[in-house]
Amino acid sequence: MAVRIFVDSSSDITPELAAELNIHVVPLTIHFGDMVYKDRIDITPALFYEQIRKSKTPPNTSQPSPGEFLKIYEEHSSPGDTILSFHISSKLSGTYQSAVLASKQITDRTVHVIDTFSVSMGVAIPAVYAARWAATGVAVTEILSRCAKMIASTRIYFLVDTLEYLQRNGRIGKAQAVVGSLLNIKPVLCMDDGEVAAADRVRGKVQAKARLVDLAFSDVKQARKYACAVMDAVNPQERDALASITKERLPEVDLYQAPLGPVVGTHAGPGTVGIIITEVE
Amino acid sequence: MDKLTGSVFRNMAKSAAIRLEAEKARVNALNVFPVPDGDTGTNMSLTLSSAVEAVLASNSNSIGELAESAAQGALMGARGNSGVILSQFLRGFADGVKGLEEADSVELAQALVKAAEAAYGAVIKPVEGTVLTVGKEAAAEAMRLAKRGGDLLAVLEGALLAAIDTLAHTPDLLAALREAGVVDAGGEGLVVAAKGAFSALNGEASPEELELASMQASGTAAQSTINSVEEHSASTSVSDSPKTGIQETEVVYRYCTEFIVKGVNIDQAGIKRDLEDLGDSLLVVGQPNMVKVHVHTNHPGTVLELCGVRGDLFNIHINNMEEQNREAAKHEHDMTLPDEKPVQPAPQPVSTAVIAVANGVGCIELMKSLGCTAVVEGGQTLNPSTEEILAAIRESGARKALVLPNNKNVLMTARQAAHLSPIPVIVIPTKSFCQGVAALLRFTPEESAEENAGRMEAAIDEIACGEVTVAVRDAVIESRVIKEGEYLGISGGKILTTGTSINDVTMDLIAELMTENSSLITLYYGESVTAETAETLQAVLAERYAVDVEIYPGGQPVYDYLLSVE
Repeated sequence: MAVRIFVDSSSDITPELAAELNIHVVPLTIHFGDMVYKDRIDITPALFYEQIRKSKTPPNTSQPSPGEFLKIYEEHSSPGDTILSFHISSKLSGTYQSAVLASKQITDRTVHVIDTFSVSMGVAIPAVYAARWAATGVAVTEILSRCAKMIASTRIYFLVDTLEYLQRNGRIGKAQAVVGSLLNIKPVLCMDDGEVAAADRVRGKVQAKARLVDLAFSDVKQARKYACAVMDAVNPQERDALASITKERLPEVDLYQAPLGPVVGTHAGPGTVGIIITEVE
Repeated sequence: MDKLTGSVFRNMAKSAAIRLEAEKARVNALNVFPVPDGDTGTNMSLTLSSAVEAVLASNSNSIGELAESAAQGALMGARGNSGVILSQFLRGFADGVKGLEEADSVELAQALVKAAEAAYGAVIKPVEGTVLTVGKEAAAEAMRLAKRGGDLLAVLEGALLAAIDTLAHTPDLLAALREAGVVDAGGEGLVVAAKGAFSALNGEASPEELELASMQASGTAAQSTINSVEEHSASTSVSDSPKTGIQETEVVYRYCTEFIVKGVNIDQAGIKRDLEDLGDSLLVVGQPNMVKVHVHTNHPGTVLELCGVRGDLFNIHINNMEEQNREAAKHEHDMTLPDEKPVQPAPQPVSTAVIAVANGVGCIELMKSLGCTAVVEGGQTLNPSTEEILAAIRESGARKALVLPNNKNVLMTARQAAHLSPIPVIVIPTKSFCQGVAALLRFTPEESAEENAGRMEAAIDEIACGEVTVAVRDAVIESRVIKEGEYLGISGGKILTTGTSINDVTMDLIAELMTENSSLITLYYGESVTAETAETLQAVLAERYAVDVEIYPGGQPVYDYLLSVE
């Protein structure tokens, strides 16, 4: 009758954190031409970015099949268990859809598939909290309702070196409008209703970073508790800088740091940095 | 043949997978919607192969059990959205023939209907004009024929022809396909697999014969002969991103004209030559005695006359695509569920127009690329008239307009135009091109004119702007002695630096404008400055200040440089 927590590999949850909280990771697949890798099994973030430099063909991703979900669900749960499965925005990937199809095949345990409308640690943070709450005996309905609030409060802002990757893979969403300007514009990107959008457009890297921070912390209230994550695609200096700004602005923050993995790396490209901020409870 | 046996089913499955594997590259090339990742063929082929492996591994001879194996295999091997949908087709089919040893034509048709239903269920928001529609129409045709007492072969042949026909019409249902000039890739994959399956059942009909049969039956294009996107290029000019759904697009060639030419030794290349200048999306396919022609044109009569010389014309279809287009857009509106975001009609005219005044080819293009609805040519020494600004406001067709004069000498004219305008106009008091750029960056089309105006006006003061030009006469201004031909560095209407070297004057001006928080210098060089000169200055500045320095060809007269520091 246990509660089992699952995420997909786009969540960028670190292996340590996943092991600590007993969170199971369903891998997406990364393709470089004919080379096929199971995310985090056959390829690490470091190897991925090395490959992206070397490879002539740009990478692509594909969702886990419903069958793979079914196999991993069944392997890591028992009849009577409750499964909470957190996933990348259904507007960016078919992963959620695969999980839903798999869940319909399971009759001997309860499966809740959750669309986080988010990416990267925006998927992982609600799962992490769900795992902690489950461990302290919080009822499933209460966990679901708390997670729904977290997901609604989650904001993501990120900067990319180039919009090429988002464009090439069709993930540019509402940020399409900033493409095609003759001026070198740095958009500050965000997730809006599960899609990539431009939160603002500024000129120059320095101003872009300043705006990213402004946007991320513009609404924070000192009375509330926050979880944040800072992520980078091989840009550790920028990540460290964002981490120290975050601690400065929110001394009590529950802060996570992680490299952006192959799935987000495929669609945002090397050099990307991002910050996620979500209200806890 | 009365009943479909397990062993025939096994052969059909195998043949379908072989055909799809052989043609996957062609299917990949069609994939333009919703994500241009071009792997639909590969994903469907791998999914189907996984299904067939499971079928071949089974010892059963019951169609029910074999279909179940196929569904299980596909479920495990499903890759990509198209693979998942295909796996659900097989799932539904398996449910339809569950418990059957063999299937008769009615049972088979019922299973196909179930397959189509299951595929719809696999997609959170089903879209018509995709593999779903192809499967649904094929199943419906199978059911119609089966109810009339059609035998197995007739039912499946009818289903296949319906699939081919529906596939050819997917661009009518989905604007993104029409714009890209392709049929739906997933639908193509399904048709390829179905052809493979059917050839195993029949054993005699070659795919080419089927192709021609379909042409005769429906009079539609043999779409599967499209080898590349280019061959069937778009004939419409897109007014918005296809992401928002079916838009009413502006149709360049109005009549979709299709027919078959029958004769002896018909010269296909000759037909192509005759028609290529009359329109686009030209497709000429077939055999020496029968050729299918498809073209989008404004002169269908001329097209028919030119081809009538080469043979007899049959199955002539001429459709007004403007009408189809409106219908499709209307249909999309009807289908929108209440909880979905409404599909916006084509955003022409825009609700808030932005009219800017600028001079120089580069400057005008820059303004447009940043989202200006229209740019009125003019500026220093070439002030546009009130009427010119007013005309731009009127022609925008918008409900409200924002005007960026980008010069203090144009400000009054702009206000005058606003006063006379039939629609509400807000003038953002930008005094230079660079201020105009800063303001434009804050423009968000989704927000109201008033909200935009507030943000844009605030942006004006966030950057420091300057101009470099040449003195046209001797003068003494604020006790500064200026000689004709000297360069002047100006900011905020004040002369800050003078000298005989353009680089020195520009550098000095920038030094005046820099603060410790500055991070970006932008230079727009005028028609009198070469790119080389500007690049040299860029390198010197980058070295001196360790900030980003960007240069753009503005092509403006009078000012050698327009520049900003922020």
